[in-house]
Amino acid sequence: MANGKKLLRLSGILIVLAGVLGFHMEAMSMVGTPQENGNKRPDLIMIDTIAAQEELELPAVVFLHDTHTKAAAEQGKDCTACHQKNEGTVSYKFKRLENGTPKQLKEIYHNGCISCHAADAKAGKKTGPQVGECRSCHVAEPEIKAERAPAGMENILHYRHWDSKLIAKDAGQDTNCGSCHHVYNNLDKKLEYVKGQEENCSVCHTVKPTGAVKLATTEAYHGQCVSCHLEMKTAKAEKTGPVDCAGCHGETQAAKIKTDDAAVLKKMGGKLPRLPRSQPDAVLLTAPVQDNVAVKATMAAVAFNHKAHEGYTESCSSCHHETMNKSCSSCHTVRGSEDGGFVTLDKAMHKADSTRSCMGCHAVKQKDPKCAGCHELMPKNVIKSEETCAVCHNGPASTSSEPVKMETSAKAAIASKLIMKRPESPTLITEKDIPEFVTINVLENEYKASKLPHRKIIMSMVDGMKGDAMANAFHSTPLSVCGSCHHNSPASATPPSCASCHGGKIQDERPALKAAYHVQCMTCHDAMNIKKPASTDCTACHAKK
Amino acid sequence: MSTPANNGPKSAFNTFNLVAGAILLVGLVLTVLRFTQGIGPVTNLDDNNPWGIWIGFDLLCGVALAAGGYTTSAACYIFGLKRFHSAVRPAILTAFLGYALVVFALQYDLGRPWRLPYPIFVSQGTTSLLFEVGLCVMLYLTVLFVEFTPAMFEWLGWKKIRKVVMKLTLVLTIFGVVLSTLHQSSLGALYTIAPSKLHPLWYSPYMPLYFFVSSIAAGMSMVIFEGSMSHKKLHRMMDEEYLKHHDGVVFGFGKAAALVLFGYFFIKVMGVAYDNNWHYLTSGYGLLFLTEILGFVALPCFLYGVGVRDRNLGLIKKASIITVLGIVFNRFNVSMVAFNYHLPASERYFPSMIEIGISVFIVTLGVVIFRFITTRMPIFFEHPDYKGDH
Amino acid sequence: MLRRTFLGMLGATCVGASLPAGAEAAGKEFKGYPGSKGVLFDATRCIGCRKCEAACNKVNKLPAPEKSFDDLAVLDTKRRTDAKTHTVVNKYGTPEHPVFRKSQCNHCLEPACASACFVKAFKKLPNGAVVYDESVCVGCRYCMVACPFEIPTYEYDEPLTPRVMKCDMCAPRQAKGQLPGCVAECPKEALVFGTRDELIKIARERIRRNPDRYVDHLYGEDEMGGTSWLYLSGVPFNEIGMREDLGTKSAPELTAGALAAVPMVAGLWPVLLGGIYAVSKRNSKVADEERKEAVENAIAKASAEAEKTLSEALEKADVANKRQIEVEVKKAVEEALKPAEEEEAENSEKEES
Repeated sequence: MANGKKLLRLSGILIVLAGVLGFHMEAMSMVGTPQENGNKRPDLIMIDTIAAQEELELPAVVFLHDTHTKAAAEQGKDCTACHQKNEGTVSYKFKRLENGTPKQLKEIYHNGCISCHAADAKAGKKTGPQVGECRSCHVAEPEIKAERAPAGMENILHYRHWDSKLIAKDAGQDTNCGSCHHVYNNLDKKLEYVKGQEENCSVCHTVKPTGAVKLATTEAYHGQCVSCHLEMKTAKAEKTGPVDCAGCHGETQAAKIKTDDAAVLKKMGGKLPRLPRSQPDAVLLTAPVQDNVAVKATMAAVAFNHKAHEGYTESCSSCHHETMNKSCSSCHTVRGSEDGGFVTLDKAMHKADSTRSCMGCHAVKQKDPKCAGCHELMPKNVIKSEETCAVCHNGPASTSSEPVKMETSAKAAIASKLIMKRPESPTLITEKDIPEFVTINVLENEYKASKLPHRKIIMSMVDGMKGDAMANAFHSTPLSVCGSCHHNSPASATPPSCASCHGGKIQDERPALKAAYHVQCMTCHDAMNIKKPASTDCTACHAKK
Repeated sequence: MSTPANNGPKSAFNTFNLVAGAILLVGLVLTVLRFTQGIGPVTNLDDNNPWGIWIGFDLLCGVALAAGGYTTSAACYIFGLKRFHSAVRPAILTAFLGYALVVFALQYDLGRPWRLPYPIFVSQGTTSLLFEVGLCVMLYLTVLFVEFTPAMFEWLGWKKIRKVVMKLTLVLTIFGVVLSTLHQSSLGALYTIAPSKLHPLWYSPYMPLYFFVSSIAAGMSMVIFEGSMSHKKLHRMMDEEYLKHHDGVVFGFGKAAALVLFGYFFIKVMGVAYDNNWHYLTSGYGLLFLTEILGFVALPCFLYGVGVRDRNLGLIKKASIITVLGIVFNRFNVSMVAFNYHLPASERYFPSMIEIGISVFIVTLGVVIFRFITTRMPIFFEHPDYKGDH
Repeated sequence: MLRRTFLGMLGATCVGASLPAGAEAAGKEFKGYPGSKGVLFDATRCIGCRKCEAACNKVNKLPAPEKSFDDLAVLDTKRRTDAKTHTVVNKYGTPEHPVFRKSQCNHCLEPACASACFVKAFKKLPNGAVVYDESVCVGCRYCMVACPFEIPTYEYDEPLTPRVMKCDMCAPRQAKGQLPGCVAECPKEALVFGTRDELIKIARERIRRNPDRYVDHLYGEDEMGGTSWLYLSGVPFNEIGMREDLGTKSAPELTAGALAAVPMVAGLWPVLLGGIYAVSKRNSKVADEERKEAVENAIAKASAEAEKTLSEALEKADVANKRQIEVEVKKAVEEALKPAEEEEAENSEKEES
C-alpha cells in the first residue's frame, strides 16, 4: 500500500507524543502528589549553603550524615575527618570554620567529598559518587525525606545533666551549669558564666543570629551537645549522650530517651528536685505600672505558686517561652506590644486555647476524666461571676498601684501567705445534708420516673479530687462542687429545681427540660468514660411502663 | 412507484430480516416487562445512579450522532456547498429517525412517560437545562420532520405541498442549526450543575461547548460512516447523481471533521489547563481521559487529515468509525464512568442485560425503519419527476 | 413621541437580553427568605438513638422498616436515604468515640433540585422547606443527578406512579405550628428548630463557648450557596461523611452561564447564518455574473476579431480589384494606343499619377 510510509510516520509521531506525555506525567506526579511512603530519615541534611548567597546551579545536595559517620568510624576516623575544631568545640560546618564565597564553598565541598570517595574507591571499598556523577549528589527530588523527632531539653533531661557527676563542677560552685550556660561579656569579649542568669539558648542563638552571636540555634545546640558527648566518648566515660543524628532525632531513640527519663523520675519517687537557680517559691502577679497609659490596670493581684508549678510542667519554657529573665508583663503589656506579638496581658493569662496561658493550661488539666465530667459542660471564654475571678484574683487590689511598687520580697511574702490559706482537701457540706436520691418524675411519659443516686455521684466526684492541689484550691467553697449541675443560680444547699429554668420549649440557648437532663447526664458520663449505662439504653435509667 | 433498479429483497426471510425480527420480538417482551414491573426490577438504576445507559447511550449518543442532519443541511444550504446536496436527504432522514428514537427511548427511562409533554404544556421549569433540551428537541424534531416530508410527498406524488415545503428550506435549515446548537450544548450543560459528582477531568464550565463542537464532528463522521455502510448495503437504491458526489462529500466532510476535531482537541486541553487539572492525568481516570482525547480525538483528526491529503477513502472511513466510537466513549464517560467517581466501587452503576436489550432493540428498530424508508422513498436518488428541481 | 417610546422599549429589551442570568448571579446573592426556618444539627450531641428516624417514619406514614428502630446494630453499616426512609443516622469515628450524623434533605436556599426540575415540581417555600409536587413530576430524575447531597430518592419499583421521595422538613406540620417530627422527638436537642438567622447565632455562640469541642465551621452556612439545615461537629466534616469540596456556589449559579448563552445563540445564530448564507449566495451570484461577463467579453472579442479580418479581407480584395482593373485598363489602353505609340505616351503617364 502507498500508505505504508504515512502510517509509519503517523505511528512515529504518536510514539513521540506518548513519550512526551509520559515524561510530563512523571514530572506532574512529582509536583502534584507528595511522596507519602518515601523513606524518612532523621539524618538527612540538605547541603544548600550556597543558596543563601546566590542561585543554585544544580539542586541542593542530599547528604546522609549518619551513613558518613559510620563509614568514617569503620576507617578509624573521627569527626575531625570532616569537621574542624575551634577552641575545643567541633565546628558544625564541613571542613571550614567560616563560610566563604560560593566559589570557595564549591571548592571545599567538591574537593572534600570527592577526594575521600576517590581514595575509598582506590582502596576497593564501597563508596559514594565521584567526579562526573553530578546527579548522584545533586538530586532534585530526593527519594528520602528528612524527618526528625523534636529533641527538647525537658526538666527531667535537664536534671539528668546537671545531676551528672561526669560533668565538671563550676569553679567554686557545687553545680555544673556553667558547662553549658554562658553569656557574652561585651567588655572582655569573652563567654562567661554568671550564676543565676542562666537563659534559654535560643534567646541569643536565634535562627539568624545578630551582633556578637556567631552560631544559629541549630549550630549552637549541635556544637554544644555533640562536642561534649564526643569528649565523653573519647574519654570513655561510663555514660554519654548520643553523637549521631538519629540518637536524638530518630523516632525510636527519642522514645527511648523518654522512657529512660521516666525511669529516672520514678526512681526519685516522681518528684524532681528544684533547679538550683534560686527561683521564687511564690510570686504575686500584678499588672505593670505604665504611666503613659491613661487606663490603669486595677485587677486584684494573683498569688502564684511557682514552686508547685515547676513540678507540673515539662520544662521552664512551657511558660517562659521567650526568656527566663523577664516577667510576663514586660512583653505582654495591658494594651499589647510588638514584643509580645500584641497579645495583651489579659489574653496571655486567660486565653482558653493556648497551652501557655494559665487558663489554657488548666483547661488541659480539666480534660482528665476525673474533672471532665463537670468541666466538659462548662462554657469556656465566658466570665460567669466576680466570684469566679476572685478565686485567683484575691490579692491586694491594684487601685493604688501600691502592690506594684512593692519590693519583690514583700510581694512574695503576701503571695505565700495567700497560698498558705488555700485548702488542701476537698471542702464540702456535711454528707448527710446531701440528698441521697433525687427522683426525676416531671416528664414521665412512656417511661417511669428515674431515680438519681445523687449523693453517690457527688461523693465519687469528691473522691477524685483528693490529693489534687489544683482541684482543692479551686473548689474552695463547700458548694463549688454543686455548681456544675446546679449552674447559673447562686450557690445554695437547696438550689432551685431544673424545671424552674428549663421549660417545655427551647429558649435561646437554654435547652428544654428533657434535653437539659439528658445533656447534663450523658455528657458527664461520656466525658468521664463511664460506659454504663449507654446513652441509648433508655431503660437503664427509666423503667419501661 | 418507479424507482431505478428497485429489485427489492428476493425473500422476506433473509438473514437481516431474521435477526432483526428476533431482536424486535425480544424487545417487545422487554418493553412489556418494563411497563408492567417498573424501572427498578428491569434496570440497575438506584438512588445514587439515577441515569444509566438509557440516558448515556440512547439520549446523549443518539442526539450527538444524529447531528449529521444539521451539519449537512447547513453545509449545503447555508454555506452554499452544492456538492453536499445529494447527502442532505440521507442525513436528514437519519437525524429525524435518530431524534424520533431518542424520544421513543426516553419513554422507557421516564417514570411517567405519558407526562412527557408536561414541561412544555403544563408546568414550565424554565430554570432547568433539561427544559431547554426538551423544548429544542421537540421543535427540532418537528423541523426535521418537515425537512423530511418532501421525500415523502414525492413518494406519494403530492406536488403542490412539496413545493411549499421546498420554499421553506432555508428558514428551516437556520432554525434547525439554532435549535441543534442549543440542545447539543445543553446536553453538556446538564452536567454543569453537578461539579461534585463528575470527575474534574470531564467537568468543566465549558462542557456545553465541548458537547456542541464534538457533535459537529460526530455528525460529519456519522454521515461518512453511514454513507459507506449504505453504499455497501443499499447500492441498488442510489442514482448516478448520488454516486457521483459521494466521494466529494466524503472528502469535504473529512477535511471539515479534521479541523473540527483539531479545535475540539485544543479546547479540551485548554479545559484541563483552565482548571489546572494536570495532576489528575497520572491517575486511572487520567489514563481514561488521555485514551479519549489522544486515541479518539487526536488520532482520527490526524487520520482525516492524511486521508484527505492522499485522497484515501479507506482511511477517512476508518477515521469516521474511530470518531463515532470516540463520541460514544466520551458520552459514556461523562454520564457513567466519570460520573459518581467519588462513590465506592460497590455503589457504582453497570447496566443490566434488560437495559442493554432495550437499547439494542431501539437501535435495531432504527435500522429497520431506515431500510424501509430508503428502499421506498427518494432518499439516495432524485425522484425522476423532480430532477434538477432544487 | 411614539417613536421615542418604541426606541426606549427596544433599548430596554436589548439591555435586558444582554444581562442574562449570569450577570445577575454575579451581582446578587440570595441568602434565603427572610425569617425562613431551619434546623441545626449538633453532632457532638447526637447519641445515635434513631428516635428521629422512628419519628420521621411515623409522621410521614412510611412503611415499617425490616428491622425495628430500636435495633442499633443497624448503625454499623452505612446507609443512605431511600424511597422508604427520609432520614438516616450513620455512625462514624472510632468504636470508643463514635460520632453520629443524621442525613436528610438539607433544604438548600437555592435548591439544585428545584433549579434542575423542568416541570417545577420542586419549590422552596418561604418557610424554608423544599417541597415536591408529584402531580406534575415526569420522572426524569434530573433532580437526583443535580443534588450535591445525594438526597432525592425514587420509587423505582412503582410501575405506574413512581414518586421522588425526600424530607420536606415536615412542611405540613410546620403549617400547623408543630415542630418537624425528628426535632420534636430528639431526646438531646441535637436538633434545634428555629429561624435560620437565629440558628447561625446559636451555632456561633456554641463554638465560641467551647472552642475545644467544635470544629470552627458551620456546615451549611455557605455550602452550595447555603442550606436551611446547618451542622456543627467536633470532628472534621469529611470524617462524618460530609463533602467539604462542594464549594459555595449555588446550583443556579453553576448553570447560569449555560442558560445565559441561550438568548445569545437564539439571537445571534440566525443573523450570522443568514449573513453566511447571503455571502455564499452573493459569492455564487458574483461568480455567475463574472462568468456571464466573461462569456460576453469573449463573444465580443471574437466578433470584433472576425469583423477585423473581414474588413481586412475586403480591403485586400479591393486593392486586388483595383489593380486588376488598372491592369485591364492598361491593357486596353495599350492595345488602343498601339498604333499611335509615340504621340500618346505623355497622356498615359498623367493618367497614372
